[in-house]
Amino acid sequence: MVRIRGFGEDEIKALGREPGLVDMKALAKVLEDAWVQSMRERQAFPYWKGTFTKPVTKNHKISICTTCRDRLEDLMQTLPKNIKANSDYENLEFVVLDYNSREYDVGRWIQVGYPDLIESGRVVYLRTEEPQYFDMAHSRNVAFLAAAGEIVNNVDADNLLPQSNGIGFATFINKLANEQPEMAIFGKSKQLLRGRIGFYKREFIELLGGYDETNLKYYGADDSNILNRAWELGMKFMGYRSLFSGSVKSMKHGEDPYPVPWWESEAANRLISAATLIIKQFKANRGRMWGKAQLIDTFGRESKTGIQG
Amino acid sequence: MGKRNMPPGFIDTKALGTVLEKTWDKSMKERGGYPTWNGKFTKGVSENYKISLCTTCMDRLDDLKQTMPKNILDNINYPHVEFVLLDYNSKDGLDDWVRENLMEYIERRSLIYIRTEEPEFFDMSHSRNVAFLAASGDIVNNIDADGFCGKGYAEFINKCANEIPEKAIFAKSRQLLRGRMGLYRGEFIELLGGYSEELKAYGHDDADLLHRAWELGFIMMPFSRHGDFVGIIKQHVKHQEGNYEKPWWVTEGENRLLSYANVICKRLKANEGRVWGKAKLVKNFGEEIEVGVQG
Repeated sequence: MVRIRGFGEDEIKALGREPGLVDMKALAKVLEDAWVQSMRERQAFPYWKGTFTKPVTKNHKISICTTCRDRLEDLMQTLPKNIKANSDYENLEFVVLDYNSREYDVGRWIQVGYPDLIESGRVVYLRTEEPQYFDMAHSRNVAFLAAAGEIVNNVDADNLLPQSNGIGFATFINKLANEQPEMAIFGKSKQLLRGRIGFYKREFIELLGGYDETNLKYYGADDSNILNRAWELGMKFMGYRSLFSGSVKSMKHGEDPYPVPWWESEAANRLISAATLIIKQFKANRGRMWGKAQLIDTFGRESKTGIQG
Repeated sequence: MGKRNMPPGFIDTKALGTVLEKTWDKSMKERGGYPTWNGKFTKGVSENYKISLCTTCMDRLDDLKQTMPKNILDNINYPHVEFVLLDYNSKDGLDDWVRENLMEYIERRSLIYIRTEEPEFFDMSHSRNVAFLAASGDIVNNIDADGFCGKGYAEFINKCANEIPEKAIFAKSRQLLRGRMGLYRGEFIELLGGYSEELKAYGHDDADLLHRAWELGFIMMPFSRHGDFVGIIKQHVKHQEGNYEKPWWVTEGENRLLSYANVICKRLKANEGRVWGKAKLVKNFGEEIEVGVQG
């Protein structure tokens, strides 16, 4: 049984920046500690030990998904390199979700730069004009639902995917998938995801119910929440640690417009995320339509995404 | 099973909920406390609000037989009262009993009897949402199936509403709601987004709604000191078993934890992004209607 660390009078008093203000981050830590202790008692953090034991017999279709809003400068530095570094894997698509960029014409840049890759389906550009603010959980859900891959992977707009040991990121993910053909979490490392997380798309939808749009708003805790739910459901963490790592110089939290400061939504999301984990809500978005968007591609074709949870 | 015998990894949600509750309570007190009416009437009655007294039930016919006729008779003198009885898929013959005993009130349009056959288990939040949405009153009030609301309750609520014509919480008292809570229906929908359907099955549904209302600046109008508006049947069972998938104390602990997390994070309008209070109903044994609000 997990010992509950109290959130005592002294700690509450120490918050005192303004009357009634609650330090959601400190409170979240109390809940997170309880959950981590519980997981350890249950020995429920399954992870791959790093040794391949099975040959590659299948080439999974992989989608590398990037969501962005007015982050063309980042994308211009990362996408060309990432495309090149993954040229050794054929069954791959890069999905760029333009989440209502207003200052930059991301679509035009991709259209001019990659007409052949768009034509072949190697690069897929989709734009939605509905969202007023950036929202991590919703934007990733839309990109993953729009993707055609059996495996869907998020890669942030400022993230580079350099080759490691002579192979590209997608080739490596496929190797991992051959090693763990179901219930897999493809991630960088347990401690530091940096937006690098992937799942089998079917499991992402049917078991996880996508990123949690119900409880997580705007920025923060979106990746850790889905990772922790996946762990609770018994999925195995297939970590590639420092391999394929790199990023361009970018604001840590982007300049994406949020209606509240990023640290506020992050703290609130952490608190609610920990609460939902503790009460075992492992499938998100039950009873609501999630990943819902109207999209338009570079050819002007319209499509819709959305799943009734 | 006592807590000492719980399996490895068991988390006491009640204890964690208490950590959050204490924090929120302190925060509220630092911000001036819980807005509560002082109990003094200062205005005359110039408006007669339509008041819906709503009761939801699943297999509680024995309770209803004792309470429903009495509650109706005790309040029918207020000309703008409406009783709403939601039959949440009962299988104990409630239908027949209503036909035999309450048709008079249905014909007089004092009672709306609605039945849904969809739910497998009872759900506090969803059932109350359905009843409140199906009601047509300006003010919607919940009365549990085993509760008596007393003589002249509807008239008293109208007097309260004339005193505070918006953002009012009509409730028994802060300490013990006993399911007795009412709100302006428009505010219940538009400001509060209904009872939170993220809270499952049994527990903390009323408290969650109350706390969100308080955070939104609503004023509680407690009626516990204003008359005999509280009563309960002799065979009252605090936590009804049988209609839930999980033990009541499990969902109560879970709901309480999630509720306080949400309130602390100022997620005060519930059910955003989902259709809530959704149900297909048969009204007064004939008319098929659907309720539900897109949050």
